[in-house]
Amino acid sequence: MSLTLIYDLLKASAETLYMTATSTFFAVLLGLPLGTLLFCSKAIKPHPFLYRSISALINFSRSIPFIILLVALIPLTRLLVGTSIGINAAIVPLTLGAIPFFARLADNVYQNLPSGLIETGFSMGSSTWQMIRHLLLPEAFPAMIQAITITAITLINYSAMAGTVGGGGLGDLAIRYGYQRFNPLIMIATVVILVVFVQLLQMSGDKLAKHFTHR
Amino acid sequence: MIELSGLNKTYAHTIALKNVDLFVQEGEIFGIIGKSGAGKSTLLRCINLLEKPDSGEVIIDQQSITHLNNRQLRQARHKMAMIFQHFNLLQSKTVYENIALPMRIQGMADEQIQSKIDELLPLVELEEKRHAYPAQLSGGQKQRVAIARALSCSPKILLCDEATSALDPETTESILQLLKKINLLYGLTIVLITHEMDVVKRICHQLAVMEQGEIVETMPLARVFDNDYGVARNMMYTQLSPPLPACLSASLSVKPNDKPLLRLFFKGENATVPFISQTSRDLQLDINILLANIDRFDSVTCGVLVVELKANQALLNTFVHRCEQANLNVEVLGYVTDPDL
Repeated sequence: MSLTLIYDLLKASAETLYMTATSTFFAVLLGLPLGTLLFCSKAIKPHPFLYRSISALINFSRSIPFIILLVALIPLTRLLVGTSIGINAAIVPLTLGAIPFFARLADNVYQNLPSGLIETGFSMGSSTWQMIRHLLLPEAFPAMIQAITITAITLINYSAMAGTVGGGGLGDLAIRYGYQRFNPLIMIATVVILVVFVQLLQMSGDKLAKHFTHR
Repeated sequence: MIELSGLNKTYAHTIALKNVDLFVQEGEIFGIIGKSGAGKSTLLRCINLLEKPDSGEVIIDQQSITHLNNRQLRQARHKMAMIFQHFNLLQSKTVYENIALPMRIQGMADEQIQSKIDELLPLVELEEKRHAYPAQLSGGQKQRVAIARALSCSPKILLCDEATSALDPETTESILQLLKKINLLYGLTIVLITHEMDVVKRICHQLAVMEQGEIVETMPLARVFDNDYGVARNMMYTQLSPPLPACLSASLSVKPNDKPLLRLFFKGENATVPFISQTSRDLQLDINILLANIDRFDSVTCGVLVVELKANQALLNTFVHRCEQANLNVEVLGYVTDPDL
């Protein structure tokens, strides 16, 4: 393996990590409030119309195949980043694809909290916001870390797909060198790196979640 | 203190509350007993409006809270604390932070919170668990934390939702004693629901029996035996007077002989008079005590004795007569046929 190839692999790995980290960050930043709103509009301050609207929106966006979202969002990406090519451009569809995904996971995390928790909050006379801040978020925290881990791993996968439309990263490398130039070494190397990334992410996510679980 | 009038609540197909009226006086421990599904849990949750009744009024401290807006209702709930069967502590927070939670929700200052917790921890005997997490505590300790949390905002009313049902008998006793203590110490009005008569018997001043969404009886615990009938009376009596051991009941016959088996029921001051020894002496009668139990119902002591007499029919009649004169309840259970007894 030549030095340039090693350099390419390192660069692509860094790009993948960058895309994953940034889009995970924004997906959580926007998906957590959305998921919280979804849960609260059902279980804390019931608002059937709001709940059904958010739920339908999430289902709608989750049903679009990511590869299509990638292309469909090109105008928006241009508007936000100024270009539709490169890793910064890829972050836009990655984030938008992951927001509803994470929102649904967050809603699920809340739903799995003990049923008495909300009742307890109400009996203390807490408002909806206090309920979120003092009861829901602290109790959901360890499970939320695991939901973030799942989202990040999904985004590693998606980022490889984003690579195929000029996004950069390991997916891009695998397609261009491994597939189009019939270089099995590169193909295997990218896959191995991706496996290592996913393993490491899952392990550290589990460890972190365990650290914050007081059982 | 708490007045419920004409409460009705219906879920999809079941009637949870049917025209329930209830009055709880300040400083009282009020027990609501009923089987599961009787509606007691719904009733308790109507007091702090965790459940909104379909119709009827909830009046706390002479103020109707049924039609308050959200903000006012939250204020009203700050004066009513609640503890639960499964404790409902936050797993992610230490004992200290769990107790602090209602105070944080009310926006109290940190120093104020700390001094309140310093006051509460010794009361619930958990000083050394201050920084422990709920998972490191036993069931009884968890309920103590929940009680401290409930007391943190100095409520006037404490609602207990099957608070001892998940605990073993010994721990139950200690939690009940703690409830009794805080009732005396703070003059706290306590409403508790339970399916265990024992809980009611141990600490309540007043009791209500619920069946199928209705309150069928309400009375002070001390007067539970004033009537010879009634659901609460029968439940208490069954508990006071356990069934006869199988060896004894198997050898009982209805055919009279000179070994009658009787059950005597004492109540109030009768229970403290040495009736048996006096009667035995006066009538020259051998009385063999087979079973005895005594218990206290608030201020009234009651007891049950199962005795075997060595007496013919005439002597038995004299004995029964004497019991009735002394205001004891007598019941001839049968005649012992087994020569070994």
